[in-house]
Formats: sequence, C-alpha cells, structure tokens
Amino acid sequence: MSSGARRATLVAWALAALVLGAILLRAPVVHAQEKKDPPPRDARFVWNAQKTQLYVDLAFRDVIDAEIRKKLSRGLPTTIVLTGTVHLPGVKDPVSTTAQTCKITWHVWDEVYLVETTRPGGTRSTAAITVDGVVRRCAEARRLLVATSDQLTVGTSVYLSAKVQVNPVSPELLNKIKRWVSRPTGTGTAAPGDALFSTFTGLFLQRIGEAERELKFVTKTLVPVVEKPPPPKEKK
Amino acid sequence: MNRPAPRLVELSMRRLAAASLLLATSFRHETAFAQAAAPTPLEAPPPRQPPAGAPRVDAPDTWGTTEPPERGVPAPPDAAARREPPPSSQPSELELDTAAAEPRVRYTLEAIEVRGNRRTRSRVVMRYVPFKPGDVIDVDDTEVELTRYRLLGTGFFRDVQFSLRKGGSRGRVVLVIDVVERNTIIVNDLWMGLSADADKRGNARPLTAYAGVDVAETNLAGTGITLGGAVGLAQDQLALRVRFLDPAFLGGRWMASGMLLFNDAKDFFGNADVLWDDPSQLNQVPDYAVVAYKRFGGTLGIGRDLSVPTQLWLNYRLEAIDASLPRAASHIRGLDREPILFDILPGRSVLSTARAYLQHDTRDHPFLPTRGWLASVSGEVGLTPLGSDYAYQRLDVAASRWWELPWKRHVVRLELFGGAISGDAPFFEQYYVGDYSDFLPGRVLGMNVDRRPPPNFLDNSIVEVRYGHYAAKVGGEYRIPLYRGTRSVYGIDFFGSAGLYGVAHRRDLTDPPRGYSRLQLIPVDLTANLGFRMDTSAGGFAFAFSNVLGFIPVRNEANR
Repeated sequence: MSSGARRATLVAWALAALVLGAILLRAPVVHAQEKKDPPPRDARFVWNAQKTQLYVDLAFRDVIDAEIRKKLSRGLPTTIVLTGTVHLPGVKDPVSTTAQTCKITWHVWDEVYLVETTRPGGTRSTAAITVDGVVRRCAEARRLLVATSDQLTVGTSVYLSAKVQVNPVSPELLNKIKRWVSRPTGTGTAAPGDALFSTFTGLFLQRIGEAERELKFVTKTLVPVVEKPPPPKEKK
Repeated sequence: MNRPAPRLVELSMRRLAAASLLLATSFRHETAFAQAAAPTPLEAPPPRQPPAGAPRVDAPDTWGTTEPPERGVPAPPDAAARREPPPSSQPSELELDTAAAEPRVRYTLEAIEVRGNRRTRSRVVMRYVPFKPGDVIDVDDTEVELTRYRLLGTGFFRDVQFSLRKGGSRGRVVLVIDVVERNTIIVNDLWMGLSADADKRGNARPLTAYAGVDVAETNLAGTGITLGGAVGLAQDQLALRVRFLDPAFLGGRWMASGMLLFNDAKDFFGNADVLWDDPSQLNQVPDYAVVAYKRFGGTLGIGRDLSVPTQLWLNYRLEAIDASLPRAASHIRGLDREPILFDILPGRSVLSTARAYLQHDTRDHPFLPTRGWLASVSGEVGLTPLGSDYAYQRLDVAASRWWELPWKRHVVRLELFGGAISGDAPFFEQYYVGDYSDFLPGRVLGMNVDRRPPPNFLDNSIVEVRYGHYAAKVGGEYRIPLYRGTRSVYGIDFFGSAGLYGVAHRRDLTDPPRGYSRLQLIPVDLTANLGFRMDTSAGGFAFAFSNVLGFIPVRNEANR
C-alpha cells in the first residue's frame, strides 16, 4: 500500500471519529435512577404590605427520610440546604435566587438538637427537643425572602425551582477530600500511579456526589398575594 | 383552619432542665439575626430579649410559625398562623431559642469503638483515625468527616458512619465508627487482543491471541495489606507477577511494597530481509531474529507521603536474566545491511538497579478525572557495584493536566512525556514504540506480544525503530461523559485521543539510516484512539478501537 493510500486510510478514520464525536457531543449525560419530574408542589407566595419583598412558604419534609432522621441523633452535624430560583412562567432564566441552610447537631449530654439556620437576613441558632421540631425548622421554609420589587412586578405569577440537599459537600471540602483520596497521607492501597489505586478510590468518589441526599422540585405557578397592612395601633 | 391536635408531652423534666442549663451556660443571648451578615434583611418582628439567665423555651419564630403544617402542605402565611403557640398548648413542639451565632460543641474523647468489622481488624481502622482518647473533639471539625472519607477511600468498606454517644462522665463521649465491609478482590487489569505480524507489503497479519489478568486482594485477612497476582499468556510466552503493598509498614508512616516477576518470553528483531545464524530457530519465525529470554527477580520498595498530593518511593530491583540469542543476525536498515543490536547479554546475567520515584497527584478522580495534575519524575540507575551487568541511567518526566470544559462537563487532557537512557540498558528496559502508539499493543507484564513496527503515518524513519534510548510524546484527549451511576457502573465516558510521539535508538542519532531525507530522519509518528472508559465496582476498564485500527497496513519498506 502506498503512503498516499495509508494517509487516506488515516483521514477516513479521522473523519469517522469526527462524525462519532459530533454525535456524542450532543448526547446528554444519563444519570442512573433518573426519575421523572415530580409534580409541582404547593407553595404560597406573599408580597409584604409595602409590596417591596416577596416571601415564600413551602415544605420539603420528605427530604428527611428514616435514614436522615437516624443521622440527626448521631452527635455530629447534619446540614440541610435549600437553594431556589424564582422564575416567570415560560422563562428559563430566573429572576431571583434564594437559599436557606440548616445545621443540626444533637448535643449528646444535654439531649437537645442545636439548630443553626442561615438565610437571607442572617444566621440564627435555636434548640429543639424533638425531631419534629428539627423537621419543622429545617424541612420547611417559612417566610423565606425570594425576590424584591426591583426584580419582580407585583401581580406577576411566579414559580420556584428548588433543590434541597442533605450534607452537601462544599467544593473546597470536596477537593480536599478528593485530593486526599488520591493520595491519603500515611495510607494507600496500591502503588503510586497504579490503576489498582484508581479503582479503589473510584469506588466511593462517585458516592460522595454533591450530597448525601438530594431533592429537586418546582412549585406550582401562582400569583403572589399581598399581605394586609397591620391595623393602626389605638391611642390610649 | 384546622390545626393538628396537640400531642402528648414526651419530654422528661431532665431533658428540659438540661436544655435550660445548656442555653444558660453555652450561648449568649443576642439578636436573632446577625444583621451585619444580612444582604437583604427580612422584614421580621424585632427579636425579644429573654431575661438574663432564663432562656425562653417558647420563643416565637421570627420567620414564621413553629406550628407544623400538614405534611407536604405549606403553612398559611397569615400573621395568625405565624404566631407561636404557647408551650403548654403544643409541648411536643417546644423549641429553645438560643439566638446565638456559631455555638461550638466540644467533648473530651473517652474512647473509640469500631463496630461492624468482621474481617478488617480494628487496628487497621484506627490507622486512619487521627483522634485518640483524651483529645478534645469539636463536632464541626472537618477532620471528622475527612476521616470518614479516608476510611471509605481504603476500599475496604461499603459504608462508614460516625456517631457519638455518652461517655462515663459529663462532657466525655465515645466515638463510634460503624463500618460495612465490602468485597476487596479487584480486577486491576485485563489484557486481551491479537498479536500480529506484518507481511512484506506492510499489511498486518494476525497471529495468535494473547491474554492476561491482574487480580488483587486489597485487604488481606483484614490487615489492610494488598496482595495481587497477575498472569500473561501469549504464543510460547508466559509472564507471572506477584505483588504486595503494606500501607503502614510496621505500623508507621512508611509504606512498603514488593514484587516478584517471572518472564519466559521471546522478542522479535529485524526490520527487513533478516538473516541470522542460529540453527535452533530455523524455519520457526523466518522473518525475524528471535531472542528467547527468562527473567526472574523482584523489587522491594519503601514509600512515604511528603504531603497530601505528593508521594516518594525508593525501590531496589534484582533480577536474573538468561537469554538465548542468534550467534549473528543482520537486517536491512534504511538502505544498508547492518548487524542487529539485541541490547542484551547472551547467557546468564544480572540486573540490579535502584529507582527513585516522585509523584504529584491533584486529580479529582483517579479513573475519570476532570481536573488536576498528575506529574511524576523517576530516575533509575544500574548498580554495577551490586553485581549488575547492565550499567545505565534512566530519567523519565511525565505530566498530565485535565480541565473540565464549561459545557456539558466535557473534559480535555494534555499529556507530556520525555525520557532518556544513557548506558547499556537491556532491551526490555528501553522505550518501546508500542508503549506510545495506540495502534500497537503495549507490553503485558514486561512481555512483548506484537512483532509489528509502528504504522509510520508520517513516512519517516520511525519504521526502523522498535526499542530506543530516547522517547517523547505530546498528546491530547477529549472525553464526553455519557453515563453516571452509583452502583455497579459509576461512569462511562467516550474518549478520543491523538498525539505525536518519537522513539529513537542511540544509533538513530549517531548513525542514522540511509535513504531518508532530512526531516524523515526524525523518527516520529502519530497515534490516536477512540473508545469508552468505564469506571465500575470491579475496576476501571477502557474499551478502545485502537487495536482494530492497528490492523491497517504498516511498514512501507516494499515501496522504498
């Protein structure tokens, strides 16, 4: 075979690779146990009386299953994070975003749940004596600020796209973990550069994922109501 | 509206008292909101200050009611619904408003208890735990969670959970480590393919199948020691290897490794029109001068982590070699007939070397990385004072970098390699073109299973090279994630790679083959590959098309 024919063969293979690559470039990543979108959840959107801030009330108690309930009492922190984006119907880009985090720590000796909640407005620490109290604090969002009148016109219908994560791994921590896993100090399961080591560490890296449990949902599309202004105080 | 009926009080007075004590002693009473950290303060009623030393157990939730709504149904946002009911009406929903920021919970560690380990010894688990009785443990310390991942990273366990329970006296706790063990027998590598020859027109000619497998038990008898065995088979060739790794040698911070290797192998020399003088091999492999050799020996090494991503290994190797060569052999190299250089001593010889290996690894994933570096430097010297018949020095530098692209998490990799050998290294220690070209099978446990020269896409003197003293490669890879899972198959990626590499024997520089023009004297070639990489619970596998692609015609001496 001449060198020209050999090059032609190479070009043919390269073209085949390009075609295959072009097809795969458009392929979406399939995730195992991919579920259909759940039905929209109930929520309540409320403008404050001054019509300057929009709040939402919603619940996601199902994120705390039996396993997470058990973890709540292990004495080490459990974190539940809600992140949400507010959308106009039919518009992909959000008009605003919000978040709420909740860190729960069971105090072994005092037998109370210490709950530290962070959301727009600041951080607050409370204590709950029962798991139900924890669930109510951390698996619900009450009067959570989601938008302002600068971002949204009063009277416009909206919906919230939410993601709830239990014990999400921060990128910094994840990187630290993964770096460590790649080369754990003082430990190892195979020689450096060995595919054997890769196999072991790969076994669990996928399990770290982004969180121990994740829940995604959207709320129903609703027109926010407006709070009634408080009644004027009577003069004594 | 309907409200859930109040439930029975199940709280003991002791817990209430304890909670009150905790709040009175541990937390400062401040405003409920840290306004300084508030980007957009909520409109909330001002927090009420409780009396000093008397924390409220019925503090209203300034973000809304603490009354539980029905499951899955949000609470009404009206003011009445947000009002906290008095504790007497809903005692099971009592909450204690501490209103303090960042409470720290610390205990004194009384003991560490390992549970669920049926095969793995507790001391092996404890090797990865940085805490000891008497330490003060902060529940927010990230080291706690990192320790959990360290244990998962050993590959010994399917699950690891940490918890605390009361110790013998107030403030003391027992750290409980619950583990679920997993199968630790891993298929480390698998080789299968067709070795090939090339006819005089340069067309690949499949010969026989070759195969190999490398299996390891990574938690031998629960000690954390890895013991692996591998076997490679090809036509008239056999390779065996046994390895072990102790990640905590003598319970210390050093790692120890060992390896035994046996090769009963053949290699095939000669570019074209090969002539040889060896009556024992006549008519067996007519196109090649065959070297039959046996290697038996081993390596001992110690290693240590210099930092989280950096590891250093020092190895000593000792091998006995018994080689059978043709008495004389020649071939056409370029335009001239020249003697074949086998680069191995006939009869019995000894190989004794020392090797240092430094690796820096910041990859975020070992088999399907998306970012980070994998860089290494290694140097090896033949130790003639310790009996080596081969005096040589070898230096290799390799680096790979991965980037995740902003769209669809596609990944790009850049790979660089450079290596040089000075002195008289045996041919199986030299750079082999099949280790750089994806169109030729690489060596299996040190055994060469293929007889072809590289494809020579650039029509130059690389076709004259099989083993060399110098090698370099620059390559790139593009990876497209197709599947992500959490059970048996963790991920499948499609990949396409391409590169340029060069391998040169010392003689190619000092006495280049005639018949090539100036640029053709640079022995470089292209390589490429396509396929799928799979990360599974049984190991990482790559299904590549290169071995099929490798059967396109090779060797072009018939046209010269």
